[in-house]
Amino acid sequence: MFRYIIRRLILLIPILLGVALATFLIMQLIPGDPARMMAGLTASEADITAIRVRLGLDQPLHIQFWEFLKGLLQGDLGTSLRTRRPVAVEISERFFATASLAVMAIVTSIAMSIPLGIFAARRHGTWGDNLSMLVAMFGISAPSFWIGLLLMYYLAYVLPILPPSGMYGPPWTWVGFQSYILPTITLSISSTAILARLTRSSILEILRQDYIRTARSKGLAERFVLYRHALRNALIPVITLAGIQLGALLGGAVVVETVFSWPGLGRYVVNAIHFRDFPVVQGGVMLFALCFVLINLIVDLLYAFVDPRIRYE
Amino acid sequence: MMRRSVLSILMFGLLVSLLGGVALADTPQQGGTMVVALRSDAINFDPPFIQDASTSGIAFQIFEHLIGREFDGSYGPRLAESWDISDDATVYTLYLRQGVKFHDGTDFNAAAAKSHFERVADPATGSHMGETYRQTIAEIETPDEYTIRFVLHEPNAAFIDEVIIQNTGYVSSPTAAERYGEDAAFNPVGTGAFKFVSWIPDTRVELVRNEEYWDGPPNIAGVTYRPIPEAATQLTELRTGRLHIMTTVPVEQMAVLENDPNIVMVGEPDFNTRYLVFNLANPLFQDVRVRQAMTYALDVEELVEIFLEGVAAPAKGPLPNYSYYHKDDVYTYPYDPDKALELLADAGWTPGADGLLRNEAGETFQFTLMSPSGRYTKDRELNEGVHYQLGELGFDVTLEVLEFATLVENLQTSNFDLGYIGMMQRTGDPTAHLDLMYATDGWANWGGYSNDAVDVLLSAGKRTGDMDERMEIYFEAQDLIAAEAPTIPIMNEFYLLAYRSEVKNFEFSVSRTSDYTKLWIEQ
Repeated sequence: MFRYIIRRLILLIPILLGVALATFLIMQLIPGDPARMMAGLTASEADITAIRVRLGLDQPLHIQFWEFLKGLLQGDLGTSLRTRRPVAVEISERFFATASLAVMAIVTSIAMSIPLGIFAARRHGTWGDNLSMLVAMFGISAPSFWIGLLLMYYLAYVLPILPPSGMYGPPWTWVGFQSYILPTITLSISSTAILARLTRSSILEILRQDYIRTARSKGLAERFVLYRHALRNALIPVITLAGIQLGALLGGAVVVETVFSWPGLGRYVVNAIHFRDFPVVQGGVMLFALCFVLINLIVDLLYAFVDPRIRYE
Repeated sequence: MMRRSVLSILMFGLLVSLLGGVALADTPQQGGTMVVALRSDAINFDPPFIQDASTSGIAFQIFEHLIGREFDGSYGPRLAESWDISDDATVYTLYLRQGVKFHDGTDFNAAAAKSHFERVADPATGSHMGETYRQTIAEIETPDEYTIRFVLHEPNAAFIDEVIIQNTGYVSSPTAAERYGEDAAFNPVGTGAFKFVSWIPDTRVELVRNEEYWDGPPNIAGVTYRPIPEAATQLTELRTGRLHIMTTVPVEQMAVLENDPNIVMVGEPDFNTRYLVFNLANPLFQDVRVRQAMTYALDVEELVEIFLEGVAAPAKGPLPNYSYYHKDDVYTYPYDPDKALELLADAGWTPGADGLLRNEAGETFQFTLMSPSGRYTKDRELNEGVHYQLGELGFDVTLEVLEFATLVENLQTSNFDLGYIGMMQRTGDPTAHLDLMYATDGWANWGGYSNDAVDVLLSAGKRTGDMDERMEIYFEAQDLIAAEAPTIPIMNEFYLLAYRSEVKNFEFSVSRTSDYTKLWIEQ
């Protein structure tokens, strides 16, 4: 197990190198020049050239990439072109907001989707099943900015019980927790729906297996069959998907962060793309990639807990 | 009709706020923190690096200029009580206010001001305005403790606008600049009515009133700025009373705001022009008759009325309508498609059987119209209108909607045919508009327009300090430029904002910055 983890961690290096290279190349390929954006609309060519030299953007591409890698090895993600502050510092200021929101959203999703999936599977083919899957379909289809604004309108304006937007502190303080509620619900709706549908279909498939028929024929209570025998096996694909969803929530919370004025990384990186702030985009994408890979590793390790047949050598 | 009703509501709002201010101005209440929304977060509070509207608006409360711009467009005393300008406009002598201190206790005097301007000009600082400062200022002298003298390389009647009333002209404490170095971005120290307390990126900026402010401390205890990028969210925050001032009023939400008795909406024109620029390197646009025809072919009044519902005024001429140098009867092009076809026929373009304009060789009039999306109010929609109207006349137009960074690069590298862009300045002085956009070596002359007569006039306008003479010069320049139509001015957008009715004595000031020293919050 330990050797397996080490091997996976070593594999991180080529993956992150690939991500670094891909991000670097994509930023070079998209039109728009950071020096021009920094200098402003009315800058002279001389000013633009001076900025380009100062930022090292006049260097050949391979040298620019090499400089970036050298910095990365020393834990230096470079300096933001726009704010002139270290990217690592700016990212660390925003990482907590994004990560805590994503974790709260995925916990909410899991807590809601698994019971919903079980409920639907147990009542397979009934109106209860159809209704819950209809609700799930709605959750997948409805755009999050719309749900967000709707929740904000009813829970912050019509019934003013929650703050409309902003982050007022960490989730373990009461004021902070209140500010987490709306963005967490909004962010979790789509993954709740996806996970609920998967839980339902996964349970239904397991319930058709021979060993379930055996369990039932030896007279086990249906509840015992479901929770003891079916659910554990049915959860493997659910865990995988929940892991992927967590990764997606980390990097894909831009819309929710914008609607709720959340001081997160997604908004920060998207703004950086608009301003062609290369070091910020590179740093942000590297971090997202790292989180994604680590989450996948954790998911793989979790399999062993859920299914004792799985062993890592 | 729609436009008139919205305008009248705006005027009514302004009137109500003024009357409210007058009636209750004698009993201002002390205290309370005013919460103001920003569309985007601040970037860097060190004056040499301030470029964006959000930071500039906050910096306006923390720092002060030596000379300011009054509501009527004239210059007013700030940190300088008075000033002399030499007849040839090469020496500016400013007499500074005494007894003023920076927030860190440093004395404000000529040496401090000199040190600030030298820091901006220093190439080692790397300010985006450094080159302009170096090219303009030859020397800064301090004949006594409270007199500062700027000696310029050449006559420049626009010096106050170009150097003093810039974001980079916010005077910062020299001791703080030395102490904080690069961290000055997070530690602004000025002389203004509010002191900086903290900045949590993407969350809030907090200011507290300066009890020792030379003009008397403000009524409110402090200001909190919150970056709220989504307009609908700003609206909810405002309506729930958690926000006092909303700075981004989307056209679609105006009806909601009008119907809310707790909200006052005000709108004011400022110094911006949104316009279409022709790339004169393209042979199609080198014939002045073609450019004039296209200007006649566009019904700008209709476009503005349809898409901007009265929150912008159709532009008249190359200078913003509200600049004090604007020529009201400037050469204009009322919508006239027949005249447009006539001019096109003279230039060799006639509509074929398919309705498309063709020249003798049978080629169609083919070009691309580039528009940003979301940068300016309804920019994409408006250009769809332009695309439609030009297409109606037989132009073979392709509309290309680009991300702003890409559009800027295309303009600056002359890789476009016809582009839609905006020019926004803090001042209505013609040097900030005409010199940049229409002088042969103008930095924002992306179309490559060049007219010797215009260059001579613009240079003369810059060199004379005599206002009447300048007026005459710029009137002539506006007509000359308009007649040649190197651009199609579309509109001047209003600056709209909405605030809670408990905010009293709110003064709306020019250049998108508001003075918070006299207002108060009804508790």
